[in-house]
Amino acid sequence: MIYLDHAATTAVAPEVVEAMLACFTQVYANPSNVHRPALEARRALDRARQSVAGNLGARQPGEIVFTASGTEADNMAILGLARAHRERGDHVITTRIEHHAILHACDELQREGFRITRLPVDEWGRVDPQAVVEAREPGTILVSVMLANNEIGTLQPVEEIASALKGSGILVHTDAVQAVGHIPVDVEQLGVDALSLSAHKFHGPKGVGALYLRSGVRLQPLVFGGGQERGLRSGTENVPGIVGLARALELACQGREERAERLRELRDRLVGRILGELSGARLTGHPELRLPGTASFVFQDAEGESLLLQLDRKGICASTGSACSNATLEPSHVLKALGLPLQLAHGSLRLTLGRENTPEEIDQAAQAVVEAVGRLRSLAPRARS
Amino acid sequence: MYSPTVLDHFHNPRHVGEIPQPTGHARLENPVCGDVLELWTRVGEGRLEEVGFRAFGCAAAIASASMLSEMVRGLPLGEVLALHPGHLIEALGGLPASKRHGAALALEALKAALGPEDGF
Repeated sequence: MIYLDHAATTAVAPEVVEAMLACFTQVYANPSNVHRPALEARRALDRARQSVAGNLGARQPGEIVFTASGTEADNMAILGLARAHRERGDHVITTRIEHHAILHACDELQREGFRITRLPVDEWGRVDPQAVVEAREPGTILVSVMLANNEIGTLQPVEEIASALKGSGILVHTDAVQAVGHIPVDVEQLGVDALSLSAHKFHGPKGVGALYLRSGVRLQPLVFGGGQERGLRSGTENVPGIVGLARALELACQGREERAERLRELRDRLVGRILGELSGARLTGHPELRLPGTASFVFQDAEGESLLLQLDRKGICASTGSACSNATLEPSHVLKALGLPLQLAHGSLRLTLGRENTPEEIDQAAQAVVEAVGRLRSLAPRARS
Repeated sequence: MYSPTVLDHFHNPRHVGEIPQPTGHARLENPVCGDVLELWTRVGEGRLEEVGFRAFGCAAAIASASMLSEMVRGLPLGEVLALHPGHLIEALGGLPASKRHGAALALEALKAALGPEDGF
């Protein structure tokens, strides 16, 4: 099997499993208690928080709030920040290509009476920082723009946006779920007030994420109970998951640039071979300003889900944003926001590379894609003359 | 998600392409999901002698057209016209709810290809 679906999820690194195992069987006490095993669990939690804060460039460990997923961190940021700052305004700015964890949370805010501006993107999926500035209104309290897109890998000018809004009192959140561990992410350099991440996107476990929340920024919790995580996210801490997240982030940050360079080379080789051998094929997303491991395409006359099944039979795991892969029967909101002709949007394919992929695998995958597209085109109706 | 029968017809579709001396032809498109199905039929002595198809779409769309082309070859026209998408879905070993429109499109296209000449 050739796994090229790393943007969906990744295998947990053996070092991460090792770090987690002790927390299941030995350091299992509830960190909120005062007995010695509890203090040991508390120490493991503190170490993890310190490590994550350090790797994100946060000033204080207390700025890291652990959650049960990237989705929860996104929901917390959108709902929690908007609700906590309601007395200052009722307007939120985001983009049309955010993850559903952001977009659907914004829909919820709208039902509560907030006004939402969803900015368009250009053909590469980039939002114009100037458009963000111009979308400001007297009641604007929050801007949320993702650092890297999950479907097409395009990087957003979050640093420029945060810099342009500095001193305005408008909070800036970024969904960095696809970015953390893969490109440099430093909250101080970005200048954001909040940032979401998810462990399983960088070889950590599923079921654990985190929200960076700048010290002094108010947020209304979504989960109430025992007051864990400074009262921002109640519930007994998932110590194994949190320790796993921290270890995975340490590993991802060590040698990240060399790994990213290798991924870029493999990705460009994959993209080059596929575009070189197939007509009616296009790369989606920005050609350079994109995640190192993300190759995403649209193909004429080869439907996305059919492509996935053809590739699966050849032992290749991939993803699509095309219509037939979801219940709505429409292409993904990201492909629509790029302004692609519908016919092309029906043939989308995402191949996301990871640290274990080899050049041989990439060549095999490119060959398999070329064959699968050719096979589907041999079945497709001819263009009308 | 798909039955073994659907996967078999998707990976090994039967009766792909134009047939010799067709008597009917139709090309239908599902404007929502983008599936396109093109069918050729040849009718003789009140029977559907042969069917060929080309399809662009998901596995359900391709497998539906392939299975339908198997089911109706040699059938009297009356029996072909009495077919319902449910018959096709049953023959395919079931289809996920969101994919049943693939079977409906296949039958619709077949009936259109048996209807009045479309300028073919």
